[in-house]
Amino acid sequence: MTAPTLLIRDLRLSFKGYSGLVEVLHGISLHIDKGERVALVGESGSGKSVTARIILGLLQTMRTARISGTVNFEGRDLEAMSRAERHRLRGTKMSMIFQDPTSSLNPVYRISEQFHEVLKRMVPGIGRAEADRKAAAMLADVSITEPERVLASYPFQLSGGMNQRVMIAMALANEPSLLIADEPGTALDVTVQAQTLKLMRELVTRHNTAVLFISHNLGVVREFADRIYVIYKGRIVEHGKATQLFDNPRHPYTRALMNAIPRITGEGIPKIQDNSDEYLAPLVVHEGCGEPGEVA
Amino acid sequence: MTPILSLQSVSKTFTVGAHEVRAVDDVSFDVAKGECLAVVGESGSGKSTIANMILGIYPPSEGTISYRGTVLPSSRELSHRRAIQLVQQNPLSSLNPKRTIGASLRLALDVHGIGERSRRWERVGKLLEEVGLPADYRSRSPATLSGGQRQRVAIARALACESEIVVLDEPTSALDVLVQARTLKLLNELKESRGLTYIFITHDLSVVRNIADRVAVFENGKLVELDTVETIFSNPADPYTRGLIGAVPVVTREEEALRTSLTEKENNANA
Repeated sequence: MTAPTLLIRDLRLSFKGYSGLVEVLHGISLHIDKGERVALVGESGSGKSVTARIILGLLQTMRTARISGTVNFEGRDLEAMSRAERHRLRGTKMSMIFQDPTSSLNPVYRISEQFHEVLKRMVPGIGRAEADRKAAAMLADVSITEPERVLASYPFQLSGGMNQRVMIAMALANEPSLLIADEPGTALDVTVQAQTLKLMRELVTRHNTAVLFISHNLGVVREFADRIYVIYKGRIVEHGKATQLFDNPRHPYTRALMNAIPRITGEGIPKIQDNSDEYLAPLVVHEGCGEPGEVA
Repeated sequence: MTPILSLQSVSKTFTVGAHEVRAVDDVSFDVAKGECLAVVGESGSGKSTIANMILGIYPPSEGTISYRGTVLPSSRELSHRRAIQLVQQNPLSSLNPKRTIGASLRLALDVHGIGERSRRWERVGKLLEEVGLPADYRSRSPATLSGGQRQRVAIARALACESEIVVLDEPTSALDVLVQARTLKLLNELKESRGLTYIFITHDLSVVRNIADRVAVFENGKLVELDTVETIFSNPADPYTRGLIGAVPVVTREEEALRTSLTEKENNANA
């Protein structure tokens, strides 16, 4: 059996602050197989984004962060790599899409220049003309009808939805094996968000890219993910295939998250309990969803 | 009964360089006291321009806006500001980071001369308690609060001057779903206890379904549909409205069914 694209085992994280250690992740385990779309869902402060930063190797450079546990990327231990090696992975083998596309593109460079930078990560000697040609093809892939005009534009000249598509094109430009999407599209309006997610889903399916999709909204995840991990206060509380989880949410916290979403069928404003002790109930794993190497 | 707010053939044209952009095009509607009117549409549909005109930030190019039967003057007066208040999308940028929560709220009371000077600090504490925060948050700065707590402060500030109409501009879209649910509950409670009128601007139809009484749908500056929330969701007349409902991310099969039935109608209409 080939190694999963991403394998996280018992990952712990704490930050050293003025008042001692603050524990953020209490030993989380998750895996993503090749080409699989996996979602990590939880409220703000639950540890979703720090997990993404550890995978990218960004948090490891912070002096106050204490990290233990293993993160294997395509069978290689990230911890055993040097900083330079981890740096080489970013933007090539793994890439990321952020929440707000307009603020994550550089406002003083044209899209064409920024795309060139991205392509240089993989092929350092690539010329501008060659890069533009590649970029235009990739922009066409994300349903941008006038790639030349977009390449000649600055990010602020494009709409939010357009910038989001540019980001997706850039993130997939070097054919990464893992794409991390941190709340993509929440800064966009609903119709644009729906289009963007559909497009992203088509592309990652075609390229067989594994995706870690981070969100607080189970509704957004429902149509995108194959498998879902629900995270609460630095612990995974439920793990299952998307259909299992939505048909039969078993953890009290997952049920609360699901109830928190207003229904378009109209059932009034959601009634939810504040931090209940029930939310700390142990991990629920659905049938057939054990971590590799563990007895499911 | 006179509506609390009435828009009569309101248009707004902005001049950008050489050409003119008609952001709002001949829009008329009334808002009754105590109702929650949702204003929905995609970005660029003119919803924020409508809100800014109601707030008196700029006057309409054509048409009139009346509050309790009196046409609002083009310059923004204190009484107008006092009656109609705003809660913005991002509480981090709408609260002054250098002022304590208490000072921000106190300012609203001072400007509008509400209550006796010596009792205002106490009043600030009461306001905070009304939105579910402890009174001693008065001395904290916005940076020490969570997003949901900050939004509560912004709501308290909008209520400080005893306003009657609150324009809520995407008040929960920057919050996560659990915090959103709590904030919506608070807004509903305040509406009941204070008899407030809400103009709720959003693109999230799932929120609209559960808080609004009526829905106004905007597309390219035009009002395309205005009806009760039940009618809009069970039988939307406009294809654009159906598209908006179809784009809402859902979690249950019942919702999926409603969405699909609307999309099918759409396909039949196109065929």
